[in-house]
Amino acid sequence: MNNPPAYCAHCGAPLAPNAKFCGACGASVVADAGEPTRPASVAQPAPQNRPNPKSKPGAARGALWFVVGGFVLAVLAIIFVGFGDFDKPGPSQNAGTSATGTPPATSAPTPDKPVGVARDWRTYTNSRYGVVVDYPADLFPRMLDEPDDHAGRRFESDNGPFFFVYSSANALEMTVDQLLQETLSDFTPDNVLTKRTRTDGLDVIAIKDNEIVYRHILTSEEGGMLHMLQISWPRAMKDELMPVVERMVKSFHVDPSIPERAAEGAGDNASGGNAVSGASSDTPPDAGPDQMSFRRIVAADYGFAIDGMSAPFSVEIPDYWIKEVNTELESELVFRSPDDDPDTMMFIAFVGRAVSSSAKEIASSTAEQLQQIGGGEIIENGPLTVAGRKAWRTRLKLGSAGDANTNLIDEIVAIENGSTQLSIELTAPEPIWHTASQAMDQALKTLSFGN
Amino acid sequence: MNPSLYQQIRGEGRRLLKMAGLVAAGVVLLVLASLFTDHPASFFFKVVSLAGTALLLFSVAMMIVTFRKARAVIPGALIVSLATTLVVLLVQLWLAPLRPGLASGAIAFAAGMVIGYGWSRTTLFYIDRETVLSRGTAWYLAVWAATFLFNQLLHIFANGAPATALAAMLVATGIAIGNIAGQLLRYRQAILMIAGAAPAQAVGGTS
Repeated sequence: MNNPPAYCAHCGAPLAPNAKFCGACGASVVADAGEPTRPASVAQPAPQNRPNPKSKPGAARGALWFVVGGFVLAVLAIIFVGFGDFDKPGPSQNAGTSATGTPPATSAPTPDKPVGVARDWRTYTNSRYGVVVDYPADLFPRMLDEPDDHAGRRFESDNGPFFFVYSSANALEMTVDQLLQETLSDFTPDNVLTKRTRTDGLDVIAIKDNEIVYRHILTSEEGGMLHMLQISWPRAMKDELMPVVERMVKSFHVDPSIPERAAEGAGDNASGGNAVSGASSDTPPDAGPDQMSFRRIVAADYGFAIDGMSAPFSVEIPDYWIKEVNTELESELVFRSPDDDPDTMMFIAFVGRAVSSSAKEIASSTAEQLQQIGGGEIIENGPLTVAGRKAWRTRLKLGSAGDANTNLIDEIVAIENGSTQLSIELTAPEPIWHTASQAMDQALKTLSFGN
Repeated sequence: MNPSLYQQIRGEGRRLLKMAGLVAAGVVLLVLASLFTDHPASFFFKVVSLAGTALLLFSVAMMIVTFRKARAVIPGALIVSLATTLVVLLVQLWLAPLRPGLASGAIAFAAGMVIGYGWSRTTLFYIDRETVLSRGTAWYLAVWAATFLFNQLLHIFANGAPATALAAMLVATGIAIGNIAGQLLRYRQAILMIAGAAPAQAVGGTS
């Protein structure tokens, strides 16, 4: 009869009765016919110092290859994500998600485009206080109605971020440090990420209601006026929107000449007028009073034709100008500003003619006709190129149809287009000509013949 | 007599529910205590943060002290752990504001599984009186430390980018699942040995 060994033959650890394997090193226990054996070496080192003779050779190497290989793959995956391999935003960012968790396609960005990328940069100008800021109109497409005091404006996006600009008098004559303390009181101290002061203002970045709030305050008029730019966006979009926010903050400034020019130009209407420039270039245009935004129109959509023949062209006109319905000719397309006050009403007309006269002749004959009706004088006359074609500009100062003390400015630009002619005629009261002239400038810049 | 798989899963489930109940009770007590402070939310999150740090240090200490301790392998507990890990991942993906792309997400998860499987192979499995036991080894601790460091560094350098954090979570989940799957595989090999289907030898990892 075999006696089970009392000690493991490999590591010397005591064996439990009837154990098939050593509890210390896992070696198989073979029953011996003789007396209980004990290895010659009495020492029983700790199991971890004894190699397991039954363990598969190279097991450590095999395990480590898996581990090292796995880490390399993990790093690659993280790098791909870091370079923008994003998926659509999760349902927590969208309302009304489906039960399967797939975000609605209408509110999700394209898979390769990170949320918050801004391309359509525009400039907002507040002409009451001269505040200017660049902002991405594709990210903040909704411009809310201006407040009654015309002191600022709020812009919102479709998925959370918003910003507003607001100016006010520093009635309490607070110093920058006092303004900082007042600003910080709006946030829990632990949620304030950044606070810094400058000689002319301060910046605070904080978290509130799971949103990041960037409050940028400028002072002007030796501290007499305060101008605030506040941008809020969800915490989850922090990295994506920070470069956008930084650019907006950098562009935020006050130009004191803006309200002065607005007051000179608009007369009794110098109440502010928040306007947005539609320029999409990276450098902001010169800040001027009442910056216009524009929309593109296609003449064919309005049935424009010259002598029954389609004469397609497209051009940008001021955004809110409406088509004048009193024109009868299909070769005339007239738009006017929405004001009903004759002292502020502006018109832009596109008139087509099937003539082969030169642009100079057309412009001059039109000017003569106007002078015969309303008197006045030519104040500018000269050639130019529009849409790669010869053109002629004539500008007249005419007597007003309304208030006798207000002159009208009429600018005619006649453009040769093969066997036809297109004239663009802009009419506006002299006091707001600086605003109206944007319409002509934009039209000449964006005119395009053909479909 | 060893409990059946169903009994193991039920037992493990009960244990998890007990733990969840304790944690929930603790959270409720903390919320109530916070209400008596000047800034309840701040106090609450401070305590949670401190508790989290303490738990982290405690878990590190426990790992170092007990990684070589032999434990019975309970497949039911492993299965419950695997299921819990998967559910947590799915919830995180559901709630995430930004998700990594399918390709990089799959690679991250697969990478984690590879690491996890390799990690499971550093565990020493053996049989003692028809019970499958496992214990950690020095390499086990080394891999654990490497994954811990990797996670921490990632969170530091990712700077809170949500998609990157989620990719890191996919790696971590893959590690857990790969490790559990590896252990279940080796448990099965050990069980077959007990049944006499394979030559009697310990299913060793590394020393």
